[in-house]
Amino acid sequence: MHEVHLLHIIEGCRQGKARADEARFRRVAPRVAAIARRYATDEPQAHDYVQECFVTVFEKINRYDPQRGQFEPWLHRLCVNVILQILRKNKSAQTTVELPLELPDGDFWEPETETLDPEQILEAIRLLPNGYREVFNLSVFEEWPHRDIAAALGISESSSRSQLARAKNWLKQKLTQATRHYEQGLV
Amino acid sequence: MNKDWFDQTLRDKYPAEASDFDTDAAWAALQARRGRKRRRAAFWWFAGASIATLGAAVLFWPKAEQQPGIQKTTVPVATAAPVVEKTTAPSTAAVVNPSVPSNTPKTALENKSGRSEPKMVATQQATVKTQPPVTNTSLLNAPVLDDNTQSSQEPAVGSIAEKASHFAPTTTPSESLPSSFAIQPLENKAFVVTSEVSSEHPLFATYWLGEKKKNKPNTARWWLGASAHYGLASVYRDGDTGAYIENRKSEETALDMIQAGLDLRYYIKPNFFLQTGLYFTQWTDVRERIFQENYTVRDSNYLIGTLIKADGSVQNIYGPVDIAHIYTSTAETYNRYRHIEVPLLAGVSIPSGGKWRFECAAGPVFGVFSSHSGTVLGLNGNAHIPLQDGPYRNAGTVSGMMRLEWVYAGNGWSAGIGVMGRIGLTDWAASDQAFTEKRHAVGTGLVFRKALR
Repeated sequence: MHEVHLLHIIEGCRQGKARADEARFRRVAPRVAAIARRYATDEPQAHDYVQECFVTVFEKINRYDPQRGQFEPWLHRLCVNVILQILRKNKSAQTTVELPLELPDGDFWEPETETLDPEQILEAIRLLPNGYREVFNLSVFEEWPHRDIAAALGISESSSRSQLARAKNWLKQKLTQATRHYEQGLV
Repeated sequence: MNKDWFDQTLRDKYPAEASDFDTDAAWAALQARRGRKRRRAAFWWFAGASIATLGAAVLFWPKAEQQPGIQKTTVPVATAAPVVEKTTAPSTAAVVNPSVPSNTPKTALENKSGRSEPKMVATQQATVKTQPPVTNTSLLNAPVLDDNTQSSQEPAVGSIAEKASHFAPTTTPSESLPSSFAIQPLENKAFVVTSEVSSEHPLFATYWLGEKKKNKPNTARWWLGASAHYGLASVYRDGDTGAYIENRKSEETALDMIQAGLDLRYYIKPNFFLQTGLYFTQWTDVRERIFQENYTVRDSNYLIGTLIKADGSVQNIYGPVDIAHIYTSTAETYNRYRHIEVPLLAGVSIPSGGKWRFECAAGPVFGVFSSHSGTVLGLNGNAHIPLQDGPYRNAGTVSGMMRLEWVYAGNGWSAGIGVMGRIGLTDWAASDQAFTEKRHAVGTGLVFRKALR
């Protein structure tokens, strides 16, 4: 969608037009869903995150200033913040599982990346324990520096680094297994 | 190989948009949620504004002594003879000696309702003469009584009668003189006419001595109103299905109750009324769902032992180990039980000072329609089913209700705050279920009523 059309829709949202809201939603919902799925453990939770994100988007649409940047990055950042806020709120009710301290060294990643399916990536990310998954997402997909991740999650920078390293190793292992199973026709 | 190749590969492989995302369903769910949020916001705005308005009215409402027409009024008396003359002719004269027999024709001061009669006190005997019947024309031309302008040449009786006719428009000859009204001889050659602050409920609206009549007194018996209450709820479950009830108790907690609706009231006597209406009541339970996921990760290089050699050196032994992970998360959902109800209440309305009245009503409330949303544990075990398909009746619930209200009674309207308690009397569960469920609540709210006729 052209950016001019997008701005037209945003202006409609500001004026509270229901049709503009719907157009905005349909336009960007798949993008928000892709973000939410990475942070959620299952599909219903991802739907909840999408809803929370859009409730906030419609509330804060007036704060978006086209002069300061494009809409998509603003939306992306807002959605990530909303999801992190939800995760922080539910943190006390969750049990964090530690990944094993010792993971084998070496490169688990085989070069058969062609066979890697997006669903496999998502499944592997969802299997990451809380904390690890957030650090991994923020670092790899959102490309936040460890300083910002540590501030957002309330952990130290060294913890952020170590959790990211473990999460990456663990994911490499899982994805390697998955691609091998795929090649062997097990999946 | 670049050290970020893994990150880049994931970013490239993972799609930026979820093409299979069901936007129609998500939009519908979002709309429903925004609608609920708007309604909730509107309710709280309304409740807050009502409380603020009521509080401001209570704080800034002028006190009774400051209102015109209820100050003391002194009426000079021309003579001081200790004889009180009687007359047998029908008269509108207001001044009547209490010693006059009860079969004496009644005067205009005999207020029908018996409320807010002005007291006339005189400390010296005086000759009080009755005047010929005062016509409407004379009333219209009557001078306004005032401490400074009242002429000593003016007959006191006539003046009082003129004034009295203003505040007693509904006199009937068959009623006796209220005991609180009396005229005694004057000591200072003047009547001191005072009027107490009335409990001026619209039903018995009266007019102060010296105050111009503004409106016809409101004697409405039918009142239509609206009320909204919010309260804390509790749920009581019992029955043979012990494990089922324990599971329900562990994952569901009664949260609150919102009740709003219309009230229709009929006064069968000045202080007693019957009340019905139509209520929408929503009971909410918080349901905490615990999600547990088990998975095993095989670690091929896990530290499984430490070997201490003879020379004192230590060697770690690594090997493949299956590590079991248990991932637990919780999520809160809400179960809502919505009822349309018809109350049948009987109550009493008691003056509590000024224009305020204390009202109490109690009686049964009958549920005529119910709908439910959420999910609930099925009776057969761990499966959860939609609450709408759950083991609950869709009508026929009965609760006992008591409402205590403190209302300000204006002219033809009343508004106030109240406390409400509800006790479930009948079972909410369907008759073929092996458990019973009753709900109780205590809350506060706002009420507003307007006279119909």
